[in-house]
Amino acid sequence: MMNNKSEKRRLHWNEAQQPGLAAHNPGSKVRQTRVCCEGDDTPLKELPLSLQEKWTQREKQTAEGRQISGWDWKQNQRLAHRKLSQETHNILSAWKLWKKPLHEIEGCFGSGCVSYFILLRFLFFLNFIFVPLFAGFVLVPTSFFNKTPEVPAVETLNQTTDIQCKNFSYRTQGAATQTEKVFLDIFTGEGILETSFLFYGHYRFLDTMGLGYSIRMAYLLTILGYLILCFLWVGRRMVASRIQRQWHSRYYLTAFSSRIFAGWDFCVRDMDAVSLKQHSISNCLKMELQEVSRHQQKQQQSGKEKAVLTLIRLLLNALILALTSAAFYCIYLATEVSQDFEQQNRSSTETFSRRVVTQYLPPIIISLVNFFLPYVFGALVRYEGYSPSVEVNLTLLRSVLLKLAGLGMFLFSLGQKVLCVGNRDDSNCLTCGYNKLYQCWETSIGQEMYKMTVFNFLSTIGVTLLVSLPRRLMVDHTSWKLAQWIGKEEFLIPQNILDIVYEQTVIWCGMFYSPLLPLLNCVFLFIIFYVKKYTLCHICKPSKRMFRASSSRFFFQFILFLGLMMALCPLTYIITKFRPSRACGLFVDYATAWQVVHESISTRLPVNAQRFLNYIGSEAFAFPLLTILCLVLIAYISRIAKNRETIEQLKNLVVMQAWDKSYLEQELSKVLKETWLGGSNQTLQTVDLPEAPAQSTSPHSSLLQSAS
Amino acid sequence: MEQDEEELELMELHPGDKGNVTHLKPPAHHAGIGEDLNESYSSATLKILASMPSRTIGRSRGAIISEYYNRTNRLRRRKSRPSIHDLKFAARPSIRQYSLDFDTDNTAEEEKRSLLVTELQNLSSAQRNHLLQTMPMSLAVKLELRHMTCVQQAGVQRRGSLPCCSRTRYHIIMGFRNLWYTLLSFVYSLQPWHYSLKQISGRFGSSVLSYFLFLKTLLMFSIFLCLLSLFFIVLPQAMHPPKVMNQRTFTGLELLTGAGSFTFSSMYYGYYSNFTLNEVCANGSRVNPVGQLPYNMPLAYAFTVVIAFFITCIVLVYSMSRSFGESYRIGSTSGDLANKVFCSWDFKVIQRRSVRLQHENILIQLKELLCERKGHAVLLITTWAKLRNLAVHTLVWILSLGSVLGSAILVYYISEYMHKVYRGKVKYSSEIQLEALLLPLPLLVSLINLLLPYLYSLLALWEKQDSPILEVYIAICRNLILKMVILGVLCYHWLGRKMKYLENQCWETFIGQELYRFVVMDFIFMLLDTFFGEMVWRFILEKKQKRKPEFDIARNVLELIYGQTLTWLGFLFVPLLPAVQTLQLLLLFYIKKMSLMRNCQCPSKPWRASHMSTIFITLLCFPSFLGAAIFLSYSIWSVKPSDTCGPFQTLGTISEAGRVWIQELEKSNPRLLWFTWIYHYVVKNTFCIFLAAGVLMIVIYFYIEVVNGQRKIIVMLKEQIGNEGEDKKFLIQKIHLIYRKQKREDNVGGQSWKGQVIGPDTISEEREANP
Repeated sequence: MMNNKSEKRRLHWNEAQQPGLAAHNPGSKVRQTRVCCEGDDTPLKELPLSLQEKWTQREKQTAEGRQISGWDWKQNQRLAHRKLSQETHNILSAWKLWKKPLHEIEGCFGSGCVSYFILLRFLFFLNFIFVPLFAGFVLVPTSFFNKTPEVPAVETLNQTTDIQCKNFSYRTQGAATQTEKVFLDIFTGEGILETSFLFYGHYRFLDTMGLGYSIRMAYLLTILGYLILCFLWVGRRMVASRIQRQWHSRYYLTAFSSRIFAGWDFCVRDMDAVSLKQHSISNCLKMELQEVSRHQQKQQQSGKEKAVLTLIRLLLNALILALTSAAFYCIYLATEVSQDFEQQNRSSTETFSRRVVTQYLPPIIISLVNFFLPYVFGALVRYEGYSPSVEVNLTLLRSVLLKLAGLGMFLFSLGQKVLCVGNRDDSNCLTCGYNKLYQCWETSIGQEMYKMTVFNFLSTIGVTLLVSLPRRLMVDHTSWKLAQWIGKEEFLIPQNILDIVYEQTVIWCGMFYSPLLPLLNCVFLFIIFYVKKYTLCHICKPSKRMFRASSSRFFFQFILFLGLMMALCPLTYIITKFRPSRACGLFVDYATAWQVVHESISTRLPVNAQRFLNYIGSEAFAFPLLTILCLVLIAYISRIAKNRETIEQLKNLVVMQAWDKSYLEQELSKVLKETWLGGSNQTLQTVDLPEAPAQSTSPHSSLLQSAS
Repeated sequence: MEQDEEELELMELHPGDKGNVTHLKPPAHHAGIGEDLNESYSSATLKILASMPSRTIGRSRGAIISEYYNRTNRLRRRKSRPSIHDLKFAARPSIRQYSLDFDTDNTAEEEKRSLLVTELQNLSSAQRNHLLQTMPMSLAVKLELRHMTCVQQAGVQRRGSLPCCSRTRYHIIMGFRNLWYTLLSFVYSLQPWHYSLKQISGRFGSSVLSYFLFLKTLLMFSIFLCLLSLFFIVLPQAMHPPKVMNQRTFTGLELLTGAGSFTFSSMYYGYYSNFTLNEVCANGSRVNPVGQLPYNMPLAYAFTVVIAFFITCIVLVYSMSRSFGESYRIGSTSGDLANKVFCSWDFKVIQRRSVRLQHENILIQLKELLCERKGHAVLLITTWAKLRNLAVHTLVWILSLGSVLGSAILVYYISEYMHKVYRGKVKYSSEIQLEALLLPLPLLVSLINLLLPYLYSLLALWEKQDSPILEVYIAICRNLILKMVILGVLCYHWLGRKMKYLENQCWETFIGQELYRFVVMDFIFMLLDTFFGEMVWRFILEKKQKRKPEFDIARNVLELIYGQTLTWLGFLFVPLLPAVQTLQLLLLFYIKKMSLMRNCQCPSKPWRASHMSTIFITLLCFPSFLGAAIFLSYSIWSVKPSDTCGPFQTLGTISEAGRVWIQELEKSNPRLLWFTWIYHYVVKNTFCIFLAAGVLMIVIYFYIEVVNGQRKIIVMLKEQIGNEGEDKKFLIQKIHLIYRKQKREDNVGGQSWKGQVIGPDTISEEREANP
């Protein structure tokens, strides 16, 4: 048998060297015809052929094109169209930012690392788009009309609520020198920054804006529209992240063969990276084998062991919950302390550093929590008895939840402090509908978000410069045992991705109160790109653990989506339910910000459009919409289930065919052996068995080709 | 559940739907090789081919048994722990899972069989039966297996090597289980019309059966609605009957008109009171007795109606989506010759004549398919003929649409006229005369509904569509348009005009009576149609042409749908209308069955049962249920109920009942604050709903992508199967070549077998793929 197999292989080898023979075997013919059929609609790049075959194919195509162009008008049109679209694609891709650095990174570190940078670029664009939108709709009109001097605050303050709620004055720094003051302003977002367009409070409603242009509507709708755009875009990216293939490769790919045959990252060029890649693949295979054996072990577990394990898990989960809630409490306390401090010592002369530290207390606490707790989770998860891959994923999931929930906690405590969520009976909250200590509460929240953003950026830079760089230098240039033991830092892609996603969530949360935050984030992301690239190339070493870009993309997009939802929900709640501050901002006279939309609908639009919009907004439209969507969803779900059945059946068929084939192969080899033993060497010459061994693995391999 | 099973049978009857993926068209560009292979084969090659695994699987009983052993095993263990096959990364399409042994000798087979039996015993009886039913083996083997299972189970009981205490426990458990099974089988025997349905399917095949199944489905809907209204609306009100002013005597005309003494009965909306029922009248103010839940009649009424519709909607959509998935899944190749040849026999048919008929049916279908294969280029139609065809089609469409329009206008004016006459006579006529005046309109509508379909079928005869399927669809489409247009006109008449005229009276009750009249009239006309259209027609046909009329499934089903629409429309105003409908359907079943048995023969039109049930359900869902739901929601949300009667007398719209109740709840029951909170923030505040809609949209988008991915995978798999088939052919050819060479060298003139050899081994593959 073995002998025979090697024989076959030899034959196959021979065949490969004699391309003339290839034409005779049906497999290659199939391939040829397929190429010819599909060449029209799928680009040559994506065909599963070797480079040389592609070249010949292309030559053929161009020759054909030249031939055809004379007489077939349709064909000509199509070719021209294709060419045009290709050209535009090329031009567009040339405009893409950071194309070269991304290629470099991909070449050095593989597609896993580059996915981080691609996400970064995407976020950069996402933020960047907002800038012209906002500038066009709000900033330019405001500054244009601003030239006519406004007459501020001549309204009679006759009512007590007005007196109490409208005595807002810009904060003045009691600190000493001018430069210190500027620094302090930049860090805290007060002073100069507070009176700039960076914060909500500076935008004023101007009566002179005739021409039917409502700056309030523009402000509100630009931001909401942008958020909805983000919602759609991120949602689309989430879905389009090759999810369909992912979803199904799990159903029908095999673990080992896919790793072996399709696991190689062909973008890698660097020698170190190549060896790293090899290591990671072998690690992966080991892990998978381990997992299988673990699974078998698990099946043989007794009930008692299972009970103990469940108990341990419960305890550990309780512990983690306790730790998390403690962390939340810390965040809550920090927010309270910093806000109280700020309110009490508004005009007192505190020292520069103390003020900054207290103001930055919540971001510091949040980052500390996010820095330390994942380590704790990682340590604890080992005792829970999961398989390694589940361990990693679980830790990641927990840290994501921690991160988002921490931000949520911060927002909540801020809301409690500023907007009196939950304690409406506070003496400060009764008169104005919000805490009267915060005369311009939107600006205050905006400042908090500004501080968070700045701190995140600074901490990223700081960690790189002050921790990673010295560590690297130490490892490279000293021979201390400690330093060698610590080793180079690994570039952990999930953590880095989480960081930027988190920052984006902060931006979304604070956008309404500080509309220029996206611009700021743009700048930060631009800098971070280069910092991270430097870190990756010169400071860190890439992680040993294999990071599968394609499979994790969905997860990170999903987190981004979750963050967006988290920003969107409180924002809409606040816009539709809370009284805007009476002392500053665009919506001074309104009970809620959303009322602007109501007002302009009822005053400006014709009656029919009003009725239509009212209908759209009412539950008489919303419930049917929801029902119809549910129906569509159900239909799709059932279709998917049926298709899955079909796929199962087809797979059975494939197996059946493979069976037949292997049986036939055996028979053939038997026959061949007989003839071989019979001594007639000639028969062998005529029998070339090229396709059989190569194709016997084909249930997996050809699927893999198309799936990977 | 029972119905499910029957549908299952239906599905399996037409494996064309289930197994149509299994067929592979031989790739066109290899036709040459296929022809090469058709040349003679030596006996040695044939021997090899005959023992190929895919060919032997059908024959090797041991293999099947062992596979089913594995499957049963898996089924049993699924609950307790995931088997190795459910492993996340398990190699899915591998031979490992299907490790059948082919060359098992008898002893091994016996062993495996005993294993299978023990495994089967460990399953629940329903699962066991299902597995046994689906096994691809002969009936005798199945019987034997079942017998063995039962016997050995008894044996286990007798064995008794257990300790005393646990033995008693065991006996108790077994006793309970037996009791449960007998109970289950009793329920199974309660299943209505089991025998009659079998009879029908045996004589007329599954397409006629699907009509009766549809009838049964409608009956279930009606019974469900009936029970709901009975328990939550009628019975509570009957326990606290309101004072009725003028009780009239029963004359018998009420059964037709629904008016008269029925007017102030629990049948209609006007009878129900607008207060909390079990409050006690004390000193002019109503006080809720302590310890009793207050039964707020308006709320109960509104909620019952809305929830009934909601549940119906869910059930409808569920069944629709299920059948949709079945018949429109990707990769279904309806036009496959192999499917037609191997899987289109309806095994339910047992009567000799029907068998012959089915025979002919299949023959015709095959011919049609072959015609289609040859392409339309074959039938060269001249431009003149084309033009004439086009003209005929347009004319027919114009005629049919014109007739629809004409009848709609007729109904519109007649209704107006009748109303005027009624109003004119209301002062000085006796009540009986007045009631008789109400009858012409339903009579007219039913007459139109009866006659126009015949006109359409005549037109279709003249029209001569290319394919019979298209003909059926067009007939359905025309009938549907007619019925929906007329119902639309009537709805407008009721809600738009009657309401204004009947300001001081109870217009809801009046509409309810109208609907009742329509339902009854429809039933009467259906009976007449059965009598004249089928029985008399049969006599005529038998005299002249020695054959029987066909059972027109499409028309009958549309009539059923029409009746169901009427019931749904009237449910708000006549809570007992579903009961009437239930009775009517019960009667109809027996009448139709009798007429079918006596008068009809198999339909010669090619109906595919599963497709047909999909279409029926879709029609029931889309125009019919949707229209009724729109009517209902319009009357709930934006029509002012009458001031003098009914549970919603004082309110602006019916939907205000909920709001009023919430307000009351807020005042009286501060503990239920969360409930009002939910109401205000989730129901009233549309933002949440829109957010949910947005998320749903993204999920739907996600699923669309998944379906696309599945499509790609299916295409890939098919391609792969094709490639494998090519490889197989190649190998076979090689073997053949070698043997031929040997033969030539040996100079032995081997016998040559022709045909039958090569090509995708369809039968066995299909058997494999549809276990």
